[in-house]
Amino acid sequence: MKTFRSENKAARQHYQTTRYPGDLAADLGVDAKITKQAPMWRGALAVAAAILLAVSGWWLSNRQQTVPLGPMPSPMVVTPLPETPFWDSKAASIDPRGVGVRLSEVPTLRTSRLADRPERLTPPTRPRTLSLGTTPRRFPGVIVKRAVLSPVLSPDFPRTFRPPSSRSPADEHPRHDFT
Amino acid sequence: MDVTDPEDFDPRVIRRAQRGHRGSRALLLRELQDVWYRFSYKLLSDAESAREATQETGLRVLQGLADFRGDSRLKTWSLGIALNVCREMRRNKTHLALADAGTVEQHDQTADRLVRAEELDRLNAELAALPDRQREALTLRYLEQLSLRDTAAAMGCALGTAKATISQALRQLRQQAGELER
Repeated sequence: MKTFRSENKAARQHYQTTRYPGDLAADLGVDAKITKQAPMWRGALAVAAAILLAVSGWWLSNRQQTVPLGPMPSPMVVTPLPETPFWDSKAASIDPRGVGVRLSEVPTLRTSRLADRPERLTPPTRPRTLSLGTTPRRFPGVIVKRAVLSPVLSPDFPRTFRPPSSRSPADEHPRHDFT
Repeated sequence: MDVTDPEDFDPRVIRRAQRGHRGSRALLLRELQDVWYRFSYKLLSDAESAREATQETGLRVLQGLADFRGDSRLKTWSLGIALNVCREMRRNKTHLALADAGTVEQHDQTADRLVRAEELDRLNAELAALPDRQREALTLRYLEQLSLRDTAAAMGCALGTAKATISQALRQLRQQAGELER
């Protein structure tokens, strides 16, 4: 179509130049608050700055207020505690080493054993006689059997009697060469 | 030949406008007001009617913007709304005489421009003489420079239907031009 093709470009250009007479956003009321966006932003910033100033002023005023300390306390006087004597004057005349403790008054001590073996409280006595094959009865209730072949019991084994109280562990277990 | 519209809105502007941001909505209205006005003017052939149609189109676009999914371009989608508005106004108003159709204000006074203005008036008269759907299709396709697919989307019809409508409109114009040349 010759007419349409030749005028098409011109018609389109003219068509494109057609403008809406006015501002559609303003006509529809959409543009009412666009210009207020910047002041709103600035207003919010001003409000925030005012709040910050108020808070900082309040904080500074509270900071300057000092609490009265009052008079200095008096130095502390430490008085020694009254010495409580371990014992009184009457008790001072008594020698504590002579004070016996009644074993029956000790609650944790089994007094029955004390009654059974009173000899435990007494030091071992020296044996009157020394005979071969016999040992002092240190533990009367214990029977000690010694080997016959024990070199300790051989007649040739030299030994000298020593009371139990004077023995030393080396005497009980003498060193001898078995080679 | 499909003519694609290089104008395209920033998706962020559209999303802000969908959320109710007034600045983004005003921006969309200002960018599309000329498109809607010249399209309405071409269909209604009346400046006042075109202005009313443009305002009605703007209101409907703002109301339905939340439903815009982005399947097509915003311009195409809004031209579909403008097309429906113009159709409704055509049904409610009497069609203007062909003598008034396409009359444009002529600011140019040179001889060449006057000749071109006469040719344009004749073309506008020919376009006004077309049936509504053919005029709509030609306006969208050749004056708004939408693609065939966008033209079909704006008209709310299938692509083949838009093609057929455009070809019928061109055939009609040829017949009118041939009758005028005789």
